[in-house]
Amino acid sequence: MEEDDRAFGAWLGDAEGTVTAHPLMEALDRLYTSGPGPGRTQQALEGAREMIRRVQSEVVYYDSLANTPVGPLFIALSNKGIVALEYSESATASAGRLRQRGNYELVHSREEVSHAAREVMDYLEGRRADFDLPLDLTGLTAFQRLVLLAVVGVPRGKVATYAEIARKIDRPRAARAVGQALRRNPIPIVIPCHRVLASDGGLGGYTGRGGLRTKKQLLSLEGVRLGTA
Amino acid sequence: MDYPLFESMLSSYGSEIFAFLWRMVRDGAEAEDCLQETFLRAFKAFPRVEAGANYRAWLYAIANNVAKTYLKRRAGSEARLSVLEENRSDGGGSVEGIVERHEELELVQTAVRALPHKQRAALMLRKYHGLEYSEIAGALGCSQASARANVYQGLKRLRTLLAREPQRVEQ
Repeated sequence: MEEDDRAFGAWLGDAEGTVTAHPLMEALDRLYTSGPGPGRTQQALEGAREMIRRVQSEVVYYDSLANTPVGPLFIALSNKGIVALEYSESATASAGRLRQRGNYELVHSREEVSHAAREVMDYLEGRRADFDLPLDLTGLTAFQRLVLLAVVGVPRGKVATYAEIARKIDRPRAARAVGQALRRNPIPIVIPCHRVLASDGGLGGYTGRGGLRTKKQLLSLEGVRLGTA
Repeated sequence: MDYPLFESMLSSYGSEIFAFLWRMVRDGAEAEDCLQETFLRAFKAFPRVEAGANYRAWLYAIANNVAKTYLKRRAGSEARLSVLEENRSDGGGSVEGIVERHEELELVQTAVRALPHKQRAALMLRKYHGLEYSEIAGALGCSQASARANVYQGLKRLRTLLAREPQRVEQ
């Protein structure tokens, strides 16, 4: 027994001395030394990371940009990308609306949204042609997402019509629904719904502050020459 | 909340925490579930952890609680565990020898599972995770002396259990 105790101590690294062979400790080592193996471990870590990403995505940082050429904007960012850009005088009210779109924990942080805010400002002040921001379209319907992504495909300096977008998403009769989806565009400017015009050559609508005046302002910033419409 | 720090914690300690859970539940898929649960709890509690805390011991504490809950829930419908997997690479030896060895290992494993949770966890943490007794104390929520005592009591209990006839090993 005492010999066992000495062997235990050495085996555990608690005492000096060489580990003497002991059937119990040999069996334990055989059972437990090897561990779960690298493949299994990798898989488990991926699973845990994925789960954390899912939980993480609920945190959304926001801030307001007070002085932009189109007036104050509310900007919100998840870890997946930009969630919202809104013509808004009240960040609190916008944050409240956003809370209804997803299971978000809204955190006010100038720092966390600074890179996105800079992109928006640079764009509006003519120092940047396009956006590099990933989009987070969580909480939108599949149709809305389809429309918004199609609109992202309209390049700077070009315009499309509601009907063209409808055709592009294989819903040729849905021009009106496209208009509806764009009216609820959660990320205007970045998702350039201002580049989508009415089929008759008119400007169509714009729900942002200033309405069509802002739409024209954005288009002219991008070098689009509008007719007399 | 400092997400990059949490991410790096997962990268630094995720593997050993998974190994600990695997040693405690002895099943890959179940250990995976436990790992997710551990990091979910850790994620929720993370904003309340003091800066400069021993994150490793803190994670072990959470993992240990997860494993404890899990094993308690499983206790009724314990799946039969195979030790064959671990010993495929043993190579030589007579068939009788291999069978005998497997039986012996299963016996040891059954005995380990019969240990009080704290003793079993303390033993694993000390021997296979190289934790200091102070860290084991942190992980198990006891004093350093108690951590040490649990390791030795565990070993002694195993020795006693295995000295009996195989049929009489307590489940």
